[in-house]
Amino acid sequence: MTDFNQNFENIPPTEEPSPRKRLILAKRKFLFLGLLFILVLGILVLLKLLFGFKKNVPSSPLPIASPTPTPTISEETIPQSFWATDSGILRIEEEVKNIERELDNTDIKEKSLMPPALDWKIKF
Amino acid sequence: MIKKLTLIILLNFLLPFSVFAQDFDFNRAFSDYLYNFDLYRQAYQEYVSARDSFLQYKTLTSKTNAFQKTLKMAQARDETLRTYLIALKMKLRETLGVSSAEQNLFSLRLDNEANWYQAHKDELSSAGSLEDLVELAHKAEERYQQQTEILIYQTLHKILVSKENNLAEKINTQIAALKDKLKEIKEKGGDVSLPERWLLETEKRLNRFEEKVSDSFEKMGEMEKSIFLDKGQVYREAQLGLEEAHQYLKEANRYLKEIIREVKTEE
Repeated sequence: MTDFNQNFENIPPTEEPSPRKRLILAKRKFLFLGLLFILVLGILVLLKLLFGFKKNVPSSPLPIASPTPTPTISEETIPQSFWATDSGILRIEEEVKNIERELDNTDIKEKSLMPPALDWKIKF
Repeated sequence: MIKKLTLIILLNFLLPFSVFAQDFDFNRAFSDYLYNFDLYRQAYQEYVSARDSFLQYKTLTSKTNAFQKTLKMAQARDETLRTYLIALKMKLRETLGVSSAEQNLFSLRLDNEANWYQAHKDELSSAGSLEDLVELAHKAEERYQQQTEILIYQTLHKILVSKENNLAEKINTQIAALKDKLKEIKEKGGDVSLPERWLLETEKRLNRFEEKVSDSFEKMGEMEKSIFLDKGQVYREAQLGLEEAHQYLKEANRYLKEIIREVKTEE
């Protein structure tokens, strides 16, 4: 039979650790925490080494927009036909370029030629 | 000896005139107009000041001063308009694409108007009183509203249309040259079906250009129908139509560039 009648009043006092033992315990605790800190630091450094270089952090807060390069087709890359050097075609090409320049430079408003603003009313 | 002497004397007199005729171009005429316009503006300020003074004091001195300043202003106005009309004539003369028949017709009308303002300017000097002067000055207003203003806008429109037609003519010439070339390529066994299709598109753009120019002419026709219409507004609408026509010319020319690139490229 289990005896449930324990005498809580007469619990024997626990043995107090000696000051030397307490010092050893404190040293162990300090060592453990130190090792834990070094371990966490080591993991963080390892993670930085593994993933840190993959990110492109902008050096300046406002990135400078650079023009998007547009694909240009150079004459050299396109295979040219037999007619590419034909004098007739080249002449037409030159004329068309001249017309393009004229079209761009033509003043279709001629604002300076508008009639002068004159006051026609003479009243006394 | 006498003949030689006569010839030298004649040359002495005529040479400066011929040099002047050669030098007198649009830029010179336009500078003359701007100078006279500036004189008019100064004369107008003086007229306003003299008129206010006369209306306030009603003295004989202020009336005489008002008469003088009004005469000066009205004459400067006539001169401004006369030089402006001559500048327009010179501009038309230097614009490409104007036929000689149109050139002559417009020159005649512009000269006629310029001469009217010259005669009116001289007539103003004959005014004996301020009342006569005001009445004479009103003649210029009537003339401007009934005839001159319409002629000015018609000339401006002609200048713009001629410029556009000249460019369209150049594009048409290149279309014809390109057609001949495509025919030659075809005869030598080349495939020109794509450039030919694009050439048709180019011609369509030119047709649209002609429609726009025709619409613009129609708009200008409205100007003569009623004297109450704002002629400046009608002209602006007609000019806007020409701007649209100009865009069609640009498109047509761009198509020509593409056709040439296609012909120059290996299939």
